[in-house]
Amino acid sequence: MTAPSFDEVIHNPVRLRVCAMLSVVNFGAFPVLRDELGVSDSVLSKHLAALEAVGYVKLEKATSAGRLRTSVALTRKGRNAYAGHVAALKQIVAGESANRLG
Amino acid sequence: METDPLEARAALKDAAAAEQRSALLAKSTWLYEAWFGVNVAGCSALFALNGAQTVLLSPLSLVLLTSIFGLRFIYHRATGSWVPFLGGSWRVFIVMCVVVIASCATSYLLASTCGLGWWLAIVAVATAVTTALLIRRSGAVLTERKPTP
Repeated sequence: MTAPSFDEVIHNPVRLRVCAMLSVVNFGAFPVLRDELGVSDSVLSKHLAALEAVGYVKLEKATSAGRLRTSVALTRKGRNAYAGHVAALKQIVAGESANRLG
Repeated sequence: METDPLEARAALKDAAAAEQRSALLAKSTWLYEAWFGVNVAGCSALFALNGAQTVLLSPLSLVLLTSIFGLRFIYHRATGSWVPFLGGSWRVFIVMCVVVIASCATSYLLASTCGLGWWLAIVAVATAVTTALLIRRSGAVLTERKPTP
């Protein structure tokens, strides 16, 4: 069980969805993430750079058939931060439910 | 905490939807499952050839190695991701290990005592079908997983 820890970096809607998508796979391809999130290359790059700066994701670039392919993976630190953030969100929702009942 | 409960609820819903979508995208196709089964059956056949000490061992090893790399490449190109090896379920993984080890051991023992024969085809087909069904189950576990909220 991960301790709740609200994370301002992950809380951005696009970054939260990036972390959620990467949490179930080892790595995701940049174009797949871009298409699924419905954002442009530059927007996704900006958000990935923010996540990379705090060590939550790792970007790997490889050339295959003459094309540059970028893969993105959540680091262990990123997985823990995502799990902690989700736990914190659940705690907020649970707190509201308890207040309503009380 | 700098968010209100409504926002938190919406964020949880978004995260859950993204996790489910990602799992759905990464889920293997029937072609991958069949190919995976054939590769495992190929491993079992390698053990049989080793037991029977035939010259076919090296060529088959090369074909199998190429096939395994091809499988990995196609999967990544098709899904844009790679599911953690145990992404599905530990239970399926353990059953898979038991099936693979039993199949390889059976093939090796039968080949070293009786030589190669029709039994090899039966063991290979049984192994391929069982492992294909197991990898299918593993993918199903991944997509059935109830993630966030």
